Amino acid sequence: MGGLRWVMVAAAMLAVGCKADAPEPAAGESAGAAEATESAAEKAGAVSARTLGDLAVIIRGKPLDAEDVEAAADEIASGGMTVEAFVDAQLAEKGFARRVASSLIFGGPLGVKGRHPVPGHSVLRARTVEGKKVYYLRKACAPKEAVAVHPWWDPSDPVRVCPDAYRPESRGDAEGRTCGASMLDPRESTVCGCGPRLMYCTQDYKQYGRVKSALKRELSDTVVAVVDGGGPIDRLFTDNETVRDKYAEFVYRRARVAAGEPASVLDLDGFGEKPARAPRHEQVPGHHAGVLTAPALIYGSDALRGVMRNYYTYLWCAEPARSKVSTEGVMKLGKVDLRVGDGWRELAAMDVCTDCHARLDYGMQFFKGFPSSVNGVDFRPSEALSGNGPLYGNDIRDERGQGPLTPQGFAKLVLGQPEFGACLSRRVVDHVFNGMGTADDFDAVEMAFTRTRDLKQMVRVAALRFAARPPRPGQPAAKVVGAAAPAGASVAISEPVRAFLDNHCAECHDEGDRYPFHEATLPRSTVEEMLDLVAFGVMPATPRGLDDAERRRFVELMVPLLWEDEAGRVAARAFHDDAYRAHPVPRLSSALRIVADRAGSDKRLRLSALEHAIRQSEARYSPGFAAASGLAALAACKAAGESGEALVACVARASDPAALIVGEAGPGVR
Amino acid sequence: MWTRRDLMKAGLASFVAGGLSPALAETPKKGGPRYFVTMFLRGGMDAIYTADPKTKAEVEPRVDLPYGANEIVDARGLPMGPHFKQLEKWGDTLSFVRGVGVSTANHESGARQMLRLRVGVSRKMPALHDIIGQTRDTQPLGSVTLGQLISYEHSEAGFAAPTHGSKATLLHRLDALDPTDLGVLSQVFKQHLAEVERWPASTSKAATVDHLRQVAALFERLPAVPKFKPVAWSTRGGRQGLAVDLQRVLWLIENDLARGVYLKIFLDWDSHFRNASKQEDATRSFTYLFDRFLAELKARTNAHGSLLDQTMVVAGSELGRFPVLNGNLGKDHFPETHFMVAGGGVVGGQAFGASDRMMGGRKVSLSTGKPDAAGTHMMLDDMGTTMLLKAGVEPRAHGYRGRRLAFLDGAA
Repeated sequence: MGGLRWVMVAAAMLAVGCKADAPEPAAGESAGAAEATESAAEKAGAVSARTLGDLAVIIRGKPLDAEDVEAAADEIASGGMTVEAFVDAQLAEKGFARRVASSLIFGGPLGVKGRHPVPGHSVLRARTVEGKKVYYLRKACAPKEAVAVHPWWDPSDPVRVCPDAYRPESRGDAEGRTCGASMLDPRESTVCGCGPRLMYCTQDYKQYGRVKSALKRELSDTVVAVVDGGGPIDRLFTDNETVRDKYAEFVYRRARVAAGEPASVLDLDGFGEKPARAPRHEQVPGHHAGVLTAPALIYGSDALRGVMRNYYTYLWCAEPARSKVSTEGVMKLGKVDLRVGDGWRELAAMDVCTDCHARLDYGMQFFKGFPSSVNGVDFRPSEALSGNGPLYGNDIRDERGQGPLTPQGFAKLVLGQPEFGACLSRRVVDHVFNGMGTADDFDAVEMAFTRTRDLKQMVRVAALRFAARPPRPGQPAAKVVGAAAPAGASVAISEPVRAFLDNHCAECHDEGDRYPFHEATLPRSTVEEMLDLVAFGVMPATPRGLDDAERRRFVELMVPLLWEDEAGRVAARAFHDDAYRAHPVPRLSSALRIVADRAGSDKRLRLSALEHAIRQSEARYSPGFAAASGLAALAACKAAGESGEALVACVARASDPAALIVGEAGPGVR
Repeated sequence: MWTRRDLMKAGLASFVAGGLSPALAETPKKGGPRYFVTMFLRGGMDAIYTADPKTKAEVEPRVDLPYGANEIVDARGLPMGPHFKQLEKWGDTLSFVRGVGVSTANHESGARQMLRLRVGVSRKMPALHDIIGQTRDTQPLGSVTLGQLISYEHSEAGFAAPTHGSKATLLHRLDALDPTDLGVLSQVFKQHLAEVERWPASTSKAATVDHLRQVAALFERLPAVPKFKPVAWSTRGGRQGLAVDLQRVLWLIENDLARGVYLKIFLDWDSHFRNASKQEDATRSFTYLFDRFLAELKARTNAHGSLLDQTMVVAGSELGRFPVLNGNLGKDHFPETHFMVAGGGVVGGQAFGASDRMMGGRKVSLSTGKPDAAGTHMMLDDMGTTMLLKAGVEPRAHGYRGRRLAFLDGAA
């Protein structure tokens, strides 16, 4: 549907009172946050078509037609529609839940491959002899030796399988590994066949791919269902139900058979090719916790610690720390099975290691029934722990509570911590403002989280603030101020730097810390490290972070302390003040659509590019992005039938940097 | 308005003029290599099978050492582990830097560090090759990133060109353009460049202008460059994919298209189970092709001379393997790695650094690279700092606080 479709939708929403349904600011909401939202409404007429176009791309991951944007701007200017209605209409589009929400919830496009729960080493091969198709794993056999098996993919149609590829009686080896495990790869081990109903095998590579895709789709479809369903986003991580088809359900059923239930459990009655929302069978109480126990995630790494690292990244934005692992420290542990063995308690309590491993390794205990895919690919009820266990935050001294040692117990504990809301709020702000949001933006969005725990409401608040104050990425270069600093091994801390440290750093780095900020002078290496960490956003290590202006001011103050001469200062300032960061742009998929639209063509260049996988806040006008925009413009303009000088003009129009940059950066208007 | 490259030159000038005390810095090398190639061997190559071979007498009994002294390769005086047998003929070209601390036992933070060749990094920090790319001469592109890249290996100032699993990558699309198409793009991007140069001055603008300049120059240059036509270096599918990447590296530097190339190589060195067979499979696949790559580098020349003489090649993993086997016959992570270096600006045929009886790095002299009780442990930052200095970049202004590995010059 083209033309003014969504403008009409937005106007209709306004007519039925969507504005009135919008959540009221909570008591205690900061004046700044409330004012910005108000001003968005009051200044509705001042919102440019460019800003509306940016918002559409930000919210639904796809541009609106230029004529729709202009029409919306006119409607708003004339009072026929509010900015709120515009934003609500974008959020109501399926594009938000389908294209954007996952990236906000998980911190980027989900890169799961689904390969661990579906053993790639056990794809059957087939040979047809005398008109009879016989399946085998290692070596083909004569048709008369093959046995008939009702396979999981179609129990009504038996297939013939070589005996050593079947072996329903073998469930694993004497060391506790179970079939499907990487260590029992049939190319290197004779322990396993495909098992009952051939459940550890797939018929061919096409079916192997089908199961992997189904597991990935279970995640994306469940995200859409929860986000579009409204209400707390927590449900994505606590509900029993997921959206899945028969291939995803097969993987859950396989675990039940592996745990001793009859093979008839693999009859996938009620599940078809089309995904549908359905409950999951619990093998132990608390077995399931939303997508956290979906096979694509719980086997997203080949060891449970890697899975936990992913979970804390998704839920708390706890990315791998700036590591300080030493050889001496690793050797002192005296363990060789740190990954899947029994060394975890020591690791979790050990200096330096505890910063990550208290959180990770105690977190692993809630998921103990899920083996490393090196040793098995099915949930083991007998290995799931009972009773309660602790959850840790920053280190072993930071216990956050106790809960049942089940995935459900983990989810409730982890979602109840402040890190969850702070993380989601940070991502929403970074996404909407392309990494240029302020601390006030963060506060407003976090308040929306506290009030609703609803992702759409959080994005709504951020989007309205964006409409009221579109980012202006083209800031003048930072100045270099202050007296010349003498070279030397220590650096005198200036008064303005002292004030900054007191305001932003002293709360965490107090006396006794390895950073003695109260000292009048500091080692040069410490001061250099401070500049590095603040300039590149590592510090302050709070979700609220530092406003861009303050960060740049810090660079201005610090550089003169470290570099004696003007030219050295200029070079250091440039490096630490975003000299390598070009203007922000939309994610590449959206940019390619904008290019095609501007070329007047439906042809969008298919391009396999790293830029598709990065976060919105990292999307910049890089050399790769620039080249991609040119190639896309050329393809679209040719598809539109342009040639000669008209082709040059079309490519120039379609790839115009001013049209591809987010915010009021360049003089051009999209 | 100063460009980023102007600033780089200014920084270098001030540095040479003595902006920092000699105790705090080293002098960037003038006339260093024209090209820089970093190969990231993702997963963790096992040193004992490759660059740091041992005999039973040299290690503790619990260190996994499943080969005899007779399997250690004497590569023209450079000892190599059995998995490096294929590289025997390069014994006088390659050098090893062993026992380099990486401060991490995690692939993801290790991969981020490899992109920058320093520890303690964040996603916002520029990649090492992006910094080196600012010192480009006539090459249109500063840095190109190739291979099986994932999102956290993106750099905001690079030309990212992931190359596996698709025929629709940026480079494939460029390959398919004819000179007329390239002429259109060249004309258009020169217009864009002129337009953006008129925008108000800002840090973002300076970077955007630089990136437009790179792309406009690339479009202008490509019609005169022979088309990239990969040839079969291997009949094995997995190997040929990497072979194409290596040929792409050669094409980029032979045609003077990029100052630096970062190639990520994913061959499953992450051997938590069945270490021996997984390491052997991965390393032999790599060395089979690396051998060919070095031969091509040696054989080919461009207007600036022999590619091998002009190119500093550095290859290594983000972490190492724990010296003792786990319960799955595998080896877990170890916070030290080793590097292979070759080509312009580095001496060949030397094994620098050393390990103790548990494979931990020993203190070395940074002048000689030999064990020295009064010396220091090498760190990843030392490698990054050394590369910057060889590229003519002052390291400290760019956040690098490592030491120069003077032994790579061969003076000692």
